[in-house]
Amino acid sequence: MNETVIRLGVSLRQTEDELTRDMLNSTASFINCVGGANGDNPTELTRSDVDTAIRTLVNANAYTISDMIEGEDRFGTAPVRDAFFSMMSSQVISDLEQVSGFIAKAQYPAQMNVLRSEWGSVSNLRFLTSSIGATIPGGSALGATVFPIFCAGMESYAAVEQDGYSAQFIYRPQIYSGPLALNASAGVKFAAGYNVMNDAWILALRCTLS
Amino acid sequence: MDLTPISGIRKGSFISTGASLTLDLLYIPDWFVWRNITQMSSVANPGVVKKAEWFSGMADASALIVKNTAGLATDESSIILTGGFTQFDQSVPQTFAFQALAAVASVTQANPAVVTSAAAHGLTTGDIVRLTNIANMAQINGIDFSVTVTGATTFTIPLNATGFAAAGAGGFLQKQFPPGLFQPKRRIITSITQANPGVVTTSTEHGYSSLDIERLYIPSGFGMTQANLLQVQITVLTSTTFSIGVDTTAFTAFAFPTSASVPFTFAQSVPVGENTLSLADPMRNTGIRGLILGSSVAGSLGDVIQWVAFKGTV
Repeated sequence: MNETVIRLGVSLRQTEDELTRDMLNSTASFINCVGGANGDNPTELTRSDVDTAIRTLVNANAYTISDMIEGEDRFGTAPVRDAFFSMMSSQVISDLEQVSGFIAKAQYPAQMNVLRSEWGSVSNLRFLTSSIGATIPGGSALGATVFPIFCAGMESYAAVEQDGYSAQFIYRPQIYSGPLALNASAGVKFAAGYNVMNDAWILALRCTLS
Repeated sequence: MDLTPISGIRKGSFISTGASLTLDLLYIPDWFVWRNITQMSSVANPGVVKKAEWFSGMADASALIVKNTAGLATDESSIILTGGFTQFDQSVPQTFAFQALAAVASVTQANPAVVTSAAAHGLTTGDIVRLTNIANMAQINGIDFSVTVTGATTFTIPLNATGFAAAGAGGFLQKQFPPGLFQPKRRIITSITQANPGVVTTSTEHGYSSLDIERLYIPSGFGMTQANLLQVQITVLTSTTFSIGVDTTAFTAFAFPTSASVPFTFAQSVPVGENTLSLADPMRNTGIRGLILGSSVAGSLGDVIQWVAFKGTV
């Protein structure tokens, strides 16, 4: 039962993430990467595209989510600016590491408030990665997979949990299920609404791979 | 869309239109049983599928079938690898069985633009296709369009291409199947008129309601920069057009960037809210999971089909 609960918990939280991802993929405005050289539309991710995304959010008066991480006297580290957060497919990692100014999280002066899913930062944008990040198969001009990188400012979107339905674990022992008491059931349920709170404070930076 | 149930049994029936269809089952079943009640006793239709099954682990588009044998009162069991059952989950696009790329012969410089496929396209009006690798019209590559079928190899798309430099040639179209997820969605804009009020055309059916509020994102390459970031309350005119309540007659003309301008970002309308006493068009999840019933298991026009879908330990 303990193992079941653990797996159900992971399933529930992953489903929440997928729903949030799908909502953003359906509704957030997008900017195509144009600074790359792969000949596609959008191109691969480049520094100029990251700068465009940051500039767009700043011009819309979006607040950054994380505070800066001050530089320290540690070999190989670099200060990290206060930053918007972005969420992307882990398939974009190799291109991200080629972006000018990329700082791997191992090079952050301090590891406090660094998420396990974080891969690094560029300028005022920190990147979170996931194997279930958004993709649009065949979505580019040349038919390649497009990867939307959701760049978010503070309070740009929300998941509103419904009263009494934030998350419920349900277990019915064998005695309740079936006339011969042979079957037990276990599951989780939740109800939530997902929505962009301010469309100007979030965008999808769309790229292909190099 | 809900959490995928660990176990469940769903059943249903439908009257066939003769065309492939999508069943929303809430889950991808472990065992799917299909019966063509109308044709069950038939000996008059050689090859008609009477019974079909699909198990998880079987290839997409396959099925175990029982079909009539050459009009005799005997049936034949076989495995088909095309035209059968295909699983899909809209929140996991990688699992889609993509429609095959079909070659495009040409795209006209007309309003609306006429797309001619190299072979019969098999589309129906309202389908959504994505165009890619179109030569001379690179500016529309990667955009999804709703189609209006005009012939076996032709259809129109909501695009005014009269200002384009050359007709499109070659490339591919791919039916997007099935559209969904959260509604109302961000849509790509193909034109905005200089009128009072201005009228916006979207590349696919927008699904908006009158009184919805949209924000327009018009990159500078599209000309009508005065409309960029405008927040407008719309009046729906058609499934792909709406007026925005703004006099755009003095705005710079909206024009697609040239083919040589690629790459660039498309013009978009983004739903931001509505101004009504009751929520008529709130954000809602229309994503579905289930099976696509291919041509071999879609039945013939008027056939009564019954099905049962099982998931979990049986």
